[in-house]
Amino acid sequence: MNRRTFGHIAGAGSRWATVALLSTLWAPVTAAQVMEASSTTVLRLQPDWQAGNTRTGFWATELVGLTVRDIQMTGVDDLKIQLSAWGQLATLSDPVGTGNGTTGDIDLLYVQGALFNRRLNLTLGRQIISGGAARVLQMDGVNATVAIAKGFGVTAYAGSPVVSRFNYPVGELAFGGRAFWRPSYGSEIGVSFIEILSGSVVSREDLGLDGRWVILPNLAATASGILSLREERFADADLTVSWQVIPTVEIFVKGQHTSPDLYLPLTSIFSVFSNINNDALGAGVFWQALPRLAFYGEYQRLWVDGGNGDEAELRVTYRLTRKATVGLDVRFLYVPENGVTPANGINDFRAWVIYPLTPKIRLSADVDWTILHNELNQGDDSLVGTGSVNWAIGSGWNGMLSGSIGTTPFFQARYTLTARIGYDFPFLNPKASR
Amino acid sequence: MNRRPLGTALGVMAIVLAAGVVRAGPGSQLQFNPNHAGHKKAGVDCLTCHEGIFDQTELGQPGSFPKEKVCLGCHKKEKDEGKCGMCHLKADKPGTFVTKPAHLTINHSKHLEKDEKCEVCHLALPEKTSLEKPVPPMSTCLGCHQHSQHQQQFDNGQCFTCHVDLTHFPLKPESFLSHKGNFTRTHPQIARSTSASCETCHEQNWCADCHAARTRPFKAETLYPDRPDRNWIHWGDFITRHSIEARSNQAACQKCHPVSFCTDCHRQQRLTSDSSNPLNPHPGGWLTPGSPLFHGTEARKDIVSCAACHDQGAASNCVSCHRVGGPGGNPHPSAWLSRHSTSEINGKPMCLSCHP
Repeated sequence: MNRRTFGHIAGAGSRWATVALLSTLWAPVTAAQVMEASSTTVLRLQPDWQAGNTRTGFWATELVGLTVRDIQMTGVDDLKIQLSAWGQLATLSDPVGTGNGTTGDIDLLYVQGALFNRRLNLTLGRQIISGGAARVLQMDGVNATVAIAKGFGVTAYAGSPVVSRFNYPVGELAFGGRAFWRPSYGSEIGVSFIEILSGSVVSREDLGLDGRWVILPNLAATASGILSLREERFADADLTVSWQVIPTVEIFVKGQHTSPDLYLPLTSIFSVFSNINNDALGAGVFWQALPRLAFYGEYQRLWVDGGNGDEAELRVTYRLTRKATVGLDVRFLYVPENGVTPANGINDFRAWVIYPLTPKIRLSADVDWTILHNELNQGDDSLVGTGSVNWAIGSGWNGMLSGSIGTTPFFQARYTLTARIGYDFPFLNPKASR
Repeated sequence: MNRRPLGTALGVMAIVLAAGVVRAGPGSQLQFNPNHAGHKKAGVDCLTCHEGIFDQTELGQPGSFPKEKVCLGCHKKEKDEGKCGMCHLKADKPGTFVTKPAHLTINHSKHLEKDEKCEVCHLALPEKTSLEKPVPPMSTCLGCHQHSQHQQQFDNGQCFTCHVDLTHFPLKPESFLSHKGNFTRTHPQIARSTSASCETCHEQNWCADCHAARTRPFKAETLYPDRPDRNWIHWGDFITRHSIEARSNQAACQKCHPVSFCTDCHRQQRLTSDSSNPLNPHPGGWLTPGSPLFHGTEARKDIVSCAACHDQGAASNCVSCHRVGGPGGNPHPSAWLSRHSTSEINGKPMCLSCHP
C-alpha cells in the first residue's frame, strides 16, 4: 500500500473498515438537521532549497470539511459527524515531506454522540485526543467520557496513533484515560495515564497530573506534570499563577520544566543516551491601557543545554476601528553556546495591520525583521514582508490572494504566492452564509 | 502482568461508572414542560406562544412565557378533560413558570429586529422528556457573522457585556477565556486541564488546523497568511530562526513533530549521515576524547539534536561504536543502572541493537 496516498489508515483491514464506517454514516446524514460543508482550494508557488539547489515548486491543495449535526437517532443526543480531509498535487516535495505528485490524507473523520441523557459521550473514528498526559494525540480509535456526578468524570480512549507522513514508528496501539473533577466552570483537576505500544514494546508510558483552579475571583493557577513511569522523571511540568489586579491589568508568573529526551519514544536508541533538563521561569503582564490600546509583555529566564538564556516579548495592539487593527511585536531570544552550536539569538520586530477596505474586502500586511546575534550561513538578518487581500465574494464564496517577498540568510530573494478560494455550500445550511 | 489487580480495578471502575450512569437526572423546580417538538411538528411558530418576547429587552421581564389563555386557545379541550399532566409536571398540583435569576444580558427585542428566526440562537428546543433546558451555547453568540462584535468583546475579555455576574460562572481571571496576550503559547497549559472548556466553542476541526501535524500538508500560517494578528508559531522566516528556537525549548518541537520530521528536511540538505554526499556539520575534535567539543559531552546536553539527523534505529551510526564490546564504551548516563536492570534487555529490539 502506498502510504503517501491515503496510506495513513494502515492495512487493508482498516481500509475496508473505513469504507464500512463511511457507508454506515451516510444513511443518518440524510436525516440530519444541520449540515455544514466547506471546500478550500489553496494554490501556492514558492522556491525551495534542497541539497544546495533552489527549485520552484507549485502545490495545489484541496481541503474539504463536513460537519453534520443533530442527526436524529433514538437514544442518542448531539449525534454529529465530522470530516476534514485534503488532497494535493505537487511538483516538488516540500520541506514538510508531503512528497510530489498526488497525495492526500484524512485529518479527522469521526462520529460523536451522547448516550444515557448525555452522561456518556462517545467519539469513534479519527480524532484528536487532548488533555492530561495525552497532550495532543491524533488517533484512530474510540474515546469515551462518562460524567459520573457532582463534576466527577472519567475519560478513556484506545486506538492506533496516526502514522505521520514520514511513516515514523510512533506506535501501533495507544490507550489511556483521565479521571477529572470539575467543581465549577473554569476549575478542574485531573489524573491521567497514557501508554503507547510499538509492537510489543512500550514506546511511552506516562502518568499525568493537571489542574486549573480559581483560588480567588481574580486569582487563578494552572499546573500540570507528566511523569515518565519507565524513567521515573518528569517529562514536563509547569505552573502558572495569574492575578487580575484590576479589570484592565493582569499579571502572571510561570515556571516550566521539560526533559526533552523523554519526548523521544522509548523505542528510539537516542532515548538511552541522555538525561537532560530545560527549565524556564518568568513573568508577564497584560494591560488594556485604553479600550482600543493593549500592551502585553513577558520575560523568562531559560536554563538550557549550554547554560542560561533569556527570552522577552513586548506586543502592542491598537484597534483603529471595529475591524481594523495594527500591531507591533518585539521579541528577544538568546541561547548560550553549547559547545557545538555557538551562542546565538534573535531580535525580532514585526509590525502588522488588518484593514477592511470595504465591508467585503479586507487588506492585511505584515513586515517581519529578524536580526541574528551571530551570522548564520553568512547572513545576519532576514526581512520578510507579506501582503494579502481577502474578498468575501458572497453566496458562500470567498477568496484570498497573498504574496510574500523577502531576503534571508538562506535565500537572497524569497517569495511565496498563495491563492485561496473557499466555498461553504450555503444551501446546505442557510445560517452559515448570513 | 498480574491480571488480578487489573480485573479488580476494572470491576470497581465498572461499578462506579454504572452508579453514575443510572443516577437520575438533575432535580429542578420546573413546573411546566410543554411539548416543543410537538408544537414544531404541528407548524406552530415560536412567536405564536412567545409573542411577548418581541418587547423583552432583558431576561426575566414578564411576557416572554405565554399566559394560560394563550395555551387554551388551542388546548381548552384538554383542560376541560382534566389532562393537566399534558403540560404541567405536577398534574395534581399544577404550577406555572418559575422565573429564575437572569445571569445574562440579552436584548431579545433587539435581536429579533435583526432576524426573527429564533433558531438562529436556540439551536435545540427543550425536550419533553428532559428537565434540562438547552441554552444557546456561547459559540452561537460568538459565531454570528452579522454581529461579530461579540467575538471582539470576547477577545477583549469584556465578559460583562453579556454576563450579568460571573459568580454563577466563575471565569475570572477573564484571560482564562479571553485569549489575551500570547494565547498561542499559553493555551497548551490551559487546554491540558480544561479541554472541555475549549470544546464549548471550538470543534476538533479548529484544533486540526494546527494539531493535525501528522496529516496536514502545511502549517496553519500557509493556510491563513491573511491573519497576521494570530501570532503563529512559524510566522515569517522560521527557517532562519528554527535552530535557535529549538534550542530555547527542545521539547516544544517534539510536541508536534517527531524527530523524523527533522531528518526528512535535513536529509534534503545533505546534513544526515544517510543522505547522499553528506555534509559534515560537526566541529573539529568531535570524535576526539578529551576535546572540549567531544560528541559524547554534547550529546548529553542536546540528544534531540543528535536524533534529528541520526535516528535510524539499529542502523544509527552510534551503534557501531557504542555496542557492547565496541570502542565507544558505555553511552548510558550515570544514573542509568539505578533505574534499569539488565533483565529489561530481553525482547527490546532497541536494546538488542547494542546488547546482542
